[in-house]
Amino acid sequence: MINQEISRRDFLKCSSASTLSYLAAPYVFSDVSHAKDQEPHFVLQVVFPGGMDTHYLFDARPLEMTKEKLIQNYIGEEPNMWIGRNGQSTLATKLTNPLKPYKNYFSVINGVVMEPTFDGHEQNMSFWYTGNPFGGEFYLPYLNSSNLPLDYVELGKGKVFVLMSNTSKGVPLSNKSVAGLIEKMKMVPKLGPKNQLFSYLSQRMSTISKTGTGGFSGGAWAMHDALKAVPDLASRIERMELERIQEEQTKHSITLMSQLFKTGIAKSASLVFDTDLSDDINLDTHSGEDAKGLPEDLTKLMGEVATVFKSLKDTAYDEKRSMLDVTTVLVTTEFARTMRQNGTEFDDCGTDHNPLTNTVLIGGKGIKGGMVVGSSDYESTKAEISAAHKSFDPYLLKIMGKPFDFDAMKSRTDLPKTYNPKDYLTASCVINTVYKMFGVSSKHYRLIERNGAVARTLDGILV
Amino acid sequence: MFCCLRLVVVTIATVLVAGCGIKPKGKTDKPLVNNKPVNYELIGGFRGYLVTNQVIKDRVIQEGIPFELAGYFELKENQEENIFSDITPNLRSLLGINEGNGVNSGYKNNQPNSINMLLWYIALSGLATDMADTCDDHSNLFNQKTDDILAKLCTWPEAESKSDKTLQELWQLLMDYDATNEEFLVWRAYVQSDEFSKNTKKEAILNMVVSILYNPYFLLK
Repeated sequence: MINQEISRRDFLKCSSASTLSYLAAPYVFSDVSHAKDQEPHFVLQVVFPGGMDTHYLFDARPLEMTKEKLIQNYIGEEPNMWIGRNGQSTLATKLTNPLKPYKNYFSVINGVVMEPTFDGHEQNMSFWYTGNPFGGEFYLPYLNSSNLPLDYVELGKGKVFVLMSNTSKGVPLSNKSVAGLIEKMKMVPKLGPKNQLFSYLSQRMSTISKTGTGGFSGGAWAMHDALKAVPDLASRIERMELERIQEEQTKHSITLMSQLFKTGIAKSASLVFDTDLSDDINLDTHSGEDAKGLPEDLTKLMGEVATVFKSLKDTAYDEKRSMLDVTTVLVTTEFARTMRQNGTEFDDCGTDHNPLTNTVLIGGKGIKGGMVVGSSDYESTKAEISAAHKSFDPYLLKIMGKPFDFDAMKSRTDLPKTYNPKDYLTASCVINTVYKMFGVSSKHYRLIERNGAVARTLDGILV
Repeated sequence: MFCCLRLVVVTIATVLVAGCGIKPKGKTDKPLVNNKPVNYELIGGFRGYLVTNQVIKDRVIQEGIPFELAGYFELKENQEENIFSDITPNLRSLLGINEGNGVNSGYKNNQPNSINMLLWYIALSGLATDMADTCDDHSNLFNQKTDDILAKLCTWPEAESKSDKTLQELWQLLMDYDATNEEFLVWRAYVQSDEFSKNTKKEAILNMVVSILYNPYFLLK
């Protein structure tokens, strides 16, 4: 039995606390009402697995490099200058045209170094998701500080295979399945805290969780914990309004996500496209045949990104704000690609993996749109390549993110002799920037390397 | 001046309120076993949809009758139209599935969260409703043993429906030897309580069945 004797000291402490709490109430409650008015803030990450060729998008190269057989380009047109509001620019191909109407909604981050010592899909996707090439803790659950029923939802038909240990409150959902669930919920006997069955089940799960210290007890406790949230979740789902649809499209995913955000079921979503060796699109363009399909495929995918921004803009969060006003959007892939392949005919070649650079689009709430941040090397036939780059890429098949000045928010022009991750803009910097926006505890911030310093944040893109 | 006073009052009150919780020594928010908090890094998962469906099939469903627990996610009036043809596999996958290839293969979506707990409740209460409905309209879904026990339960609130013998048979039918005898005794006391006796026949059967199947001993590995 729990000993609940109250000592004289406890009595005095509690009496004083009660009195002072009464005095403090007007101030505390004014803070509570302020908290209620706190700005809503959500996150959507859009992922294109397979390794999207960033040379075809916002990190293009002049055709002279193709003529010199340095970088393959099946578009065959000179890229255009994409000038940021911050005065920095990059070359962008015509495949980015679908995003032009939304140019000021997002910023382009180029030269994002992934995990340079591994070039596998899983390791680099893991690096983005967890900060560790071998997996770990996913960043989205850390954003759920208000303990919503779900940490995040997975949308889209694509899959990523990352070993993550904190995904128990992340679930894949589709518009169709939730639409059906809403209908079904109306027919199921209610389960609520005042319900006799609910009380019995909750009590049993709690009791069983205390019968041991292993996985079974932990599972029983997780059931108990989740059960508490079920009545609230059920009523939130019933409040959702979704149209019945035949064919699931990107705009439907955004509708579902918006409803989940607005009803307070989750505040993060991961929309993953089926682009890695899928029947329709294969971004893992090792073969020349797949690479030749990129102009058409990437036009489609940039159209999908445009749909994301348009749908968010067109969906109201409340009377004053759109979903884009309250949602931060990140668009990425696991790595960029090499400029060409060794050992194959240049005119018929595909590309390999390149974790030395990547492009991330970031926009929406909390982000200054229309900027260009960071850049990558090998920007012309005459470019000088650093020894740090050559240490990873002796045959010079890749481009690499340039060293970055985090205070000036500009790429540096020096040519480091060795690679030190603190000099570079990495995926960890982008994630830490998201953490900073959401007020995530600094103990979760990603490090530049094992036992290294905390990766810098990109404060210059924050509003 | 006013701001300082406000800060001081709020700070002192907060510190005192935080400190005055009368907790027994060593108490934490997590349950204790032998005075040590349970290690919830080890969260055991559900045994998953396929296993659970097969167990239910083996125990209560008539041989040769096709049965999918996930069928209870479907809207009966829409089944013929097949509007939500992908609801079942989509939701079913949230109850624990094997997924992936090679080193990335694994058992996914099997840790309890509020969505899958809701889905289990929908599926199990659907089955329980079908069992309760046999009191009015006989179904060929269930095996003979189940029908015999349901016939006794359908006499609710007569004594036979809540006798030790009938409840033992229902428990044995659904739970088999997956749980401890102590768990059975707690469940029997719940069903035989005055509070439970206020249930209508259908509510009683539904609650009896769900309270057995929605138990960690039944759902978890």
